Amino acid sequence: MAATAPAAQPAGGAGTPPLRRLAGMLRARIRNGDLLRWLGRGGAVVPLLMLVLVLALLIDKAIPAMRFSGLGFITGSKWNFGSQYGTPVKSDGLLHLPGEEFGALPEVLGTLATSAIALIIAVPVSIGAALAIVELLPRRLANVVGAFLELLAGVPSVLVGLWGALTFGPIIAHDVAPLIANNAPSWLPFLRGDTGNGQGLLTSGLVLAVMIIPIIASTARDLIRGVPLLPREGAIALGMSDAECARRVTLPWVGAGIVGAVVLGLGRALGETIAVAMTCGVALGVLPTNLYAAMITIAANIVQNLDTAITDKMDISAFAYLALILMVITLASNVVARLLVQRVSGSGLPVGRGL
Amino acid sequence: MSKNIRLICTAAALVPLTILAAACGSSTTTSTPSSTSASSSGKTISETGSTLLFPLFGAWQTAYSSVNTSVTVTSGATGSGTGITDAAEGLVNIGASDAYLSSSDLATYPGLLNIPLTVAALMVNYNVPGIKTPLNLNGTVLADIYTGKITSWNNSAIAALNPGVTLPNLKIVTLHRADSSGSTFLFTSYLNAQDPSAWPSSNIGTTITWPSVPGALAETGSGGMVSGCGSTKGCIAYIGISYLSKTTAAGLGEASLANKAGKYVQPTTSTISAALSSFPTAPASGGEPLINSSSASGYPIINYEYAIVKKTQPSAAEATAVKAFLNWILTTGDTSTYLSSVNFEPLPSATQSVSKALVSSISS
Amino acid sequence: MSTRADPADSGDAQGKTFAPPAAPAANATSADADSIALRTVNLTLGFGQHTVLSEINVEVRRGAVTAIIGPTGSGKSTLLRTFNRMNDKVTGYRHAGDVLLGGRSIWHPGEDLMSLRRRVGMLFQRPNPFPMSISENVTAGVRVHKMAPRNALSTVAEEYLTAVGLWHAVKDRLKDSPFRLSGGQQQLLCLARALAVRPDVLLLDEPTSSLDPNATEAIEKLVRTLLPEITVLVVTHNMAQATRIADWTIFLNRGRLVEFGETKQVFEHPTEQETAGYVGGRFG
Repeated sequence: MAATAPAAQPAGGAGTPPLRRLAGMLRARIRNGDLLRWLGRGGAVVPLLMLVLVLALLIDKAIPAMRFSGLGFITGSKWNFGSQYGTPVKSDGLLHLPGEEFGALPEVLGTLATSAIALIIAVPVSIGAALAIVELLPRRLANVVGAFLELLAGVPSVLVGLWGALTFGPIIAHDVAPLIANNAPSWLPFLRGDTGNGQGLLTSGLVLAVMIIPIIASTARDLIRGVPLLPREGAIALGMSDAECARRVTLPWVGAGIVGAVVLGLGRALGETIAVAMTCGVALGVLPTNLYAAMITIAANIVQNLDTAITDKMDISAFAYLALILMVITLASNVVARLLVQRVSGSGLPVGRGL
Repeated sequence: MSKNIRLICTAAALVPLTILAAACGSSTTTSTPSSTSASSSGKTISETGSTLLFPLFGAWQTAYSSVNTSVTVTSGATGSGTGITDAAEGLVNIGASDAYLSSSDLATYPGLLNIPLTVAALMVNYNVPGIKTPLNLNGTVLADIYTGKITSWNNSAIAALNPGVTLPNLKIVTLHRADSSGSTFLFTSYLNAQDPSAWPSSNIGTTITWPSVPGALAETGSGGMVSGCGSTKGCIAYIGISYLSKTTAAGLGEASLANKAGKYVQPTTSTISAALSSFPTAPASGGEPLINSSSASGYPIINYEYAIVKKTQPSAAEATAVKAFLNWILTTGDTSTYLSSVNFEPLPSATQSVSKALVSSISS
Repeated sequence: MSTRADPADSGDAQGKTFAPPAAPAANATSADADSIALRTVNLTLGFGQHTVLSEINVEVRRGAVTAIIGPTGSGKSTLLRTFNRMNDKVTGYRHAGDVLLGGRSIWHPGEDLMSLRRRVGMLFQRPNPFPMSISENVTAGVRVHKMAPRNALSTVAEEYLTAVGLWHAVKDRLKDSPFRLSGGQQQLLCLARALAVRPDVLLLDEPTSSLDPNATEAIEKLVRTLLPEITVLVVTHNMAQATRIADWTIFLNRGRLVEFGETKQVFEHPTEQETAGYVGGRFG
C-alpha cells in the first residue's frame, strides 16, 4: 500500500537511498496516523481471531465424541470413561474403549443450576449492598465497605472453595439444609429429602454467590453512583421513600448496566472451576435428586478427571465436546444479555447519558 | 543525591538478574568432574505422575542429588494418567504411575516401557467408634456397601464376618475419590475380583460412575480422604498405605481384607510379600495386576509402582542419565531406608531383574 | 394550634418580623390564620459551622404566588428546600426556630414526612423526568401515595397532562420515554407529575432557568392558573419574572430577610436601601 501512495513520501526523493526513503515513508505514515490506525485494526482483529481459533480447535478435537455420542451427549446422563484395560473396540468406525459412554446432562444441568442459585442469591444482595453503600451508609463507612468489596473480588477462587468445603459445607449439612428440608412444603420435593453431607448443589451455588457478589455489587455501586441527583431528588420531593426511589428511579435509571453486571457475574459463575470442584461432590453421571445432593458441573468434571481421560483419545474428545458446550452456554448468555440490554435501553432510558 | 538514588535502583534491579543467571548456570553448565556417575554431566531428569509415589520420589530425588551432583531431578505430582502421557509425548523423562500400561496405551504409544520400581498397598479404613480389633471385610460386603445395599454398620452381613464384635447402629457413609485416582482403580479392581456379580468389570477405573448412595462423600486426594473420614462418624474409605501414620493419627480403623483364599489379613510387610510370592514373576514387559492374592496369608490389594519411560530417549546423554537414576532406584532406592517411611515394600528379586532388564533396554 | 407562635412575641428577637400588610386579594386588614399558608418563626439554619439563614420570619399568603429573590448565596434555595424538608438529610444540617404549615410545625413528630412532601410539591431548576413512560411519570406520585385505583391511572394522566397543556403533544406516545421530549415539555411533564398528587403548596426552584422564552412563558402562565387552590413559592433570579408572576416578594441577602412585601411595593418603593440596590441592578 505504501508504494502506491506517492503523496505520502515527502522525504523520498529520487536520489535518496531506499532505506532512508522507507524510513521517511514510515515517518509520514506515523504522522498521518495510518500506522496507528492499522495497529488499532490489527488489535481489534486479534480477539476475534483468538475466539475463532479456540472454537476451531475445540470443534476439531470434539468431532470424534460428536460422532460417537451424537445428541445423546446432551440428553444422556451416564458418564463412563470405559475400561482402561479392555481391548479397544470399534463401533461405527470409531475406535474406543469398551464401556465408554458419555452423557453430559448432569454436567450441563449442574452448571446451569449452580449459576442460577448463585444469581438468585447474589443479585438482590449485590444490588442491596450497592444501594446501601451509595445512599444509606455514612461516607466513611461506605468507603470501608466498598474497599472490602473490592478486596473480596480479588480473593482467589481456590480460597473461596476451601472455605466452602471446610467451613460452609458442614454448616449447610448440619444446620441450613435440615432447616430448609424440614420446613419446605411437600409440593416442593426438590427442597426436601436427604440433606446430604454439605457437598452439593446448594453449597456450590452459595460459594459461587460469594464469588460473584463483589463483581455485581461493585459494578452496581459505580453505576448507582453515576445516577444524577436531580431525578432522585424529584422522587424524594414527590414523597417517595428511599426504597421507592431506589425501585422506581435509581435502579431503572441504570437497568441496562445492572443487566450487564449480572451477566458479568453469570459468566464467572458458569466457568468457575476449582471452587465448584471442591464443593460440588463430583457425582459423575448422577442427576441431583434434591438441592443438597452431590452433583457435578462441566468445569468440575474436566478438572477432576482430566488425569483419567488424558491417556484415551475418545475421553479427551468428550472433554473437548464438554468444553465446547460450556463455551456455547457462556456465549449464549452473553447474547441474551445483549438483547436484554437492548430491550431495557430501547425503552428510552438514558443509558450512559447523564442529564 | 539523585545520582546516588539512581545508582542504588540500578543495583537493585541487577541483583535478581544476577541471581537468575547464577541459578541457570548452576543447573545447566556446571559440571562436576568428581561425579560418581560415569558420563552423565549437567543433565536434568524430569518426572511427573502418581501422587501416591510422589513423596517417595521426593526422598529419592534428595538422596540421588548427593550421590550424583551433576544430575538434577525434578518431579511433579500430576496424577498417573498425566505421567503416562507426559512420558509418551516426550515432555518428561519418567512418568510415574500406580498402574501398568493398558493394551490400548501400548497400541497408542509403541516403545513405551512400564518398569516396576516398588510395591505399594491399599488400605480400607473406617471411622467406627468403639471398635478395637480390626474389622473383617470382603469384596462382596464392600461392594454392597458402595452400592447402597448395606447402609448400617450393624448389618447382619458385616456381623457375620465379625463374630463376637459388637457393632454399633451407625449409618455407613461411603467415601470415594472425587478426582481421578490410582487408588480408585485398585479398590474397584479388588471389588470386581472378589465378586464380579456384585461389582461389574465395567465399573473398574481411575474415575468411575459411583452408584448413587444417599449421603455418599467424595474427597480430593489421599489427604482429603483421611481428613474427610476422620471427621465423619460411620465413614468408610480406601486410602494408600503411604498414609498409614496419618490414618492412625486420625483414629481410623484399618480393615482386615479377605483374599482369594477367604482369609482376612492386614497389610504388613509379611502379608504383602506373601501376596507377591503368590503371583508369577512379572512378565518381561513388566506390567502385572497384583489383586486378590490366592495365598492364605497374602494381602489382597497391592500393586507395583511403575516408571513409565520411553525406550528411545532423545539423546545418548539423557538415556545414560535416566538409566543411571533408575538403576540407583532399583538397587539403593528400593530398600527399607527409603520405603519404611511410606510403608512400601521392595520388589521381589525376580521382578527386580525384570526391571533391570527393562532399564538396560533404554537407548537413544 | 398551640404550636403556633405569636408573631408579636417572636418580634422581640434580633430579627425583624414582617407581618405583611393587607393582602390584595383577601382584602383583610390583618393576616388571619386561614390566609397564611406557611409561616417561618425565627428560622435559623445552617450546615455545620456555616449558617445559611438566620432569624427568618415570614408569613406566606395562601392562594398567592410569592417570589423569593436575592443574590447568589443568599439562601433562597435553602429556604425553599426547607419547606418540604429536602435539607434534612444533608450532612451537618441543623435548624432552630420553626416552619408552620397550616399552623402546624413541619417537624412535628406526628408529621409524616412522605405526606408532607405530597402536600408540598416541588419543581426543580432543570426537568427531571423519571426513567419510565410519560404516563407513568405523571402518575408516579399518585401510585406511591395510593391516591387512585390502578384502573383510574390513565384518567389521572390525561387530566394532568391536559392541565399543563401537554396532552395533545403526547397523547399518542404515552408509553414512550419522556427523554425524547423537548426541555420545555419535560418541565411541563414534571409540573403535571407534581400537580397530580394535589399539593397545597408548590415550590418552584428557578423552574425556567434552563428553558427557552416560549417554554418559560407557558410555565409562567400555568402558574397563575393554579391559584387560588395552590399556594406557590418561586425562587427566581429573573426580576422580570418575579414582577410578572408574583403577588408577594421576599428579598433575602446573606441569609437575612431584608424585605418582604407586595411585589409592586418591593420593586417600586423598597423600604430598605439593600433592596433598592438589588432590584435596581446595582449588585447581585
